[in-house]
Amino acid sequence: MVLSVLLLGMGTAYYEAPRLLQKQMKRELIAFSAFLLIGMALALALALDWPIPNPTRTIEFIFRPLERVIYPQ
Amino acid sequence: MKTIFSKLRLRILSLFLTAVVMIVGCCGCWSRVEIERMGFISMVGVDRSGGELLVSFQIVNPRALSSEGAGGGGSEPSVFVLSVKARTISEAMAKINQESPRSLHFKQLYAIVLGEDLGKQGILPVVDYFARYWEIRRSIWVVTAKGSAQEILLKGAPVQERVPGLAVRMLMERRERFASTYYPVKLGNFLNSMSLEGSDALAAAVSVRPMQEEKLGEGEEGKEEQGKKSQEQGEAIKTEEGKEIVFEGAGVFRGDKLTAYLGPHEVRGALWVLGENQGSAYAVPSPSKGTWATLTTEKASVRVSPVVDGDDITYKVDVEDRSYICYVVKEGLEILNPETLKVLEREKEKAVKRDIEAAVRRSQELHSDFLQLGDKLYREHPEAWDKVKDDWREAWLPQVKVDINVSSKIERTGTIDNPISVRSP
Amino acid sequence: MSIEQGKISKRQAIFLISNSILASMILISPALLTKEAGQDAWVAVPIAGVFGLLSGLLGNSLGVRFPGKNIVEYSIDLLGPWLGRAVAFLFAFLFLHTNAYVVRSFGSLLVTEAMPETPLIVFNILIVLIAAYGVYLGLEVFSRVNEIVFPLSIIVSMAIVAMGLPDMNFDFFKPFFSHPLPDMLRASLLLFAFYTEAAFFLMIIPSLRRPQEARQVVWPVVLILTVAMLVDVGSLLALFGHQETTRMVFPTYELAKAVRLGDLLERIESLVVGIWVGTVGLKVAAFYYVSVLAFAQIFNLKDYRPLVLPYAFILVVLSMANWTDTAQITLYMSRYFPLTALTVLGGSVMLLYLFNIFKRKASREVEKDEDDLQQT
Repeated sequence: MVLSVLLLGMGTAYYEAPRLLQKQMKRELIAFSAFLLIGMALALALALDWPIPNPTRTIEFIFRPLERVIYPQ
Repeated sequence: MKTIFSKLRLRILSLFLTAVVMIVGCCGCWSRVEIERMGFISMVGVDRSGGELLVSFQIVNPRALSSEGAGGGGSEPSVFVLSVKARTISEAMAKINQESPRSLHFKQLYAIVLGEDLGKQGILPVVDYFARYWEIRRSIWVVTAKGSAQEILLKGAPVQERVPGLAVRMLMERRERFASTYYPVKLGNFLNSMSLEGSDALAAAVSVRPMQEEKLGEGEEGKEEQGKKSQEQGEAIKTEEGKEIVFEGAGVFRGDKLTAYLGPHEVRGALWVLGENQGSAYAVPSPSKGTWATLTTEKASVRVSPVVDGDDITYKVDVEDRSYICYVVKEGLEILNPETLKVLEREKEKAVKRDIEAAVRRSQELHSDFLQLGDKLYREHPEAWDKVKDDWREAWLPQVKVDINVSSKIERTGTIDNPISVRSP
Repeated sequence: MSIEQGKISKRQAIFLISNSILASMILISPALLTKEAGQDAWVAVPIAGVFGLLSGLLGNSLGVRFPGKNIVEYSIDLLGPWLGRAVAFLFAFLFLHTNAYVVRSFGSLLVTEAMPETPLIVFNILIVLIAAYGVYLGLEVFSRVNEIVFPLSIIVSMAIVAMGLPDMNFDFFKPFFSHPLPDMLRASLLLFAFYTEAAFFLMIIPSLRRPQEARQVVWPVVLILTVAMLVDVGSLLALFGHQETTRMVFPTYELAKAVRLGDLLERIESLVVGIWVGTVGLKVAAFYYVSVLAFAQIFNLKDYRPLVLPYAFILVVLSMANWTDTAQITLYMSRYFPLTALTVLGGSVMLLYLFNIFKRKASREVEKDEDDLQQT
């Protein structure tokens, strides 16, 4: 699992990065790297069963008071 | 330099893509099962046995079916039945899958047979499985067994069809051409009528009876009765051992418990009230007056409308029946005479009314609302229903009045008008 | 200069929006509608349609004010570089999250109903890959594909409903209007939340061949959605009754499963799944595109394509890790999704709208002052 995630990440980098380098698109390269790093970190966390940031929980937490009002329990 | 770089890149990329395609391809047939490795359950029967369930699976024998063309299929049984004791149906599925080399599937399931003792104790724990399991669809037929479901699966085997489950399905679907004295119900409708507030479930009852000869012996009681009786016993399927699956009447549920079986007349009445009647044949007039003719319903429309007046709930059942003469028994009956047709129509009306009354009486006796009268009340007068729903079956149902109006009309006389007459020698 | 060079026609836009809302609206929500409003669930559909129409007109009037720009660009213009970017980020992130939800719920459908032995992640990866490919090719490409797939899906679903007609019992609609208004409003709130998803169109208006026509898109979309949803909810009610429908996790799929045409045509649910994969894939592609494009503009990139592949990783992981089971998926859909979509999407559009009015007033006053100054 971990290996395939790493391989996929490298494949992605190999596909995109040279073109960006060639065209001298520095900003794009930085954004791409940042996104890829986040994506890889998340994918590795999923593969290794590490805790993953969960926006759904946050959303549920934020909206719980409102939910209590709108929906009958 | 640049071109070499991009060429290499292209090659590696295509390699990578090939790998991806291969991975994806493997995923695509993840859940695949080759048809040679599948076993198909055509009917499933559930009984109680002690605290456990006795689940019987009727499995199609693929060898027998494939040798059909060669004509040598006779020696091979077309289905075999395996029964397993288990606490739940899924446990039974697990056990049976351990025994069977082929992986068993419900994808070709035709009918579910609920055993009598299971029905008496409540079917709720069982039906959930059928509603939840993904291979089972809501158009599967549900029947109740008189006696044990296992016996039905074991002994009932039809002559024309190799797979009894298929035969059950064909019978259920084709019923309109015959005297409909059983109530075919699909799983979806069955669940619905069980879970609606003002309604109880009804499912065709099926039993295995011994040989054909014995049945003929019964018929000797009275000649007038005979024609009618064989109609009312529904369809009979013979088996090689001389046993046959017979549909007779229907099992009535109260909540999730089987309380009684309806006779043919009551089922016919229930079919009328539920608006499911599609061509039952009535022999008129009543047996005591003799048999003149058989009228078959071609088209019928039924309206059940509850009328609430204070604490009195009256149901108006309006039946409009269009029928044709399918058979005249009495010699010299003048079909061309409009008066005769009127007489026949009135007689049919009486017969239909009798059946509906019988069904209503039974429903009130059993405190089971299989005619879905409560549901009708809820749909038309929700406020009135709110008042009565708590003790509907105990207190209210037995005392509702049912006002039945049948109007029958003969539209066709078949291919001849006046019956065949024999000149006396 | 905008990143996207492709242009789409009005009809493509209508189909794209309709498909992007409908593909997942029919997945779970009918059961939730019947849970709230019982046999009156169908009433919620036109109510939500009215809300959808109003909000669509409002949103588009905002979009039409800035014909050459998308919501991220004018959000930055109106709210300043930091606050504008924050709102745009929220907008982009919401589409990421919603997309993850769509992928997950559709993957769950495939696992539950079609192929239980296949792991969920396989379906999620496949859906995301299809979408990523479409996004990589650009807006014009998947809009054109959608122009073919969406009408096809509508035709097939209508045929299926027509086949179910003989089994339907329209008494299940009675008694009419027995549920109080709050129940109906709650039910229509859910559908309305789906309508607000159409806010993704605000990213696409500049790519319209004639951006002024953006307003003309609203009516047809609302009409298509209302009719399609009415047919879906109505046939579910008539076929199963509201109690049964409420119990189902994926009611529309059950509808396809229950329908048959004699012995001739049965077990057509595989066909339904096939087409559904297409429509959901296109929906995911549309949201994917919008979200990636928004991120690209937040970071001032010249091209959104470099972000497409990394984004796929994030999307798959979120879709896998954010929901634990189908029960939670249903709960999220019934409670939190409407609230989130309404506050974030509706809120950001409203905020921009108000700011726009405020700014124009302010600038008009400045002009007035200048006029006054010149006169004196």
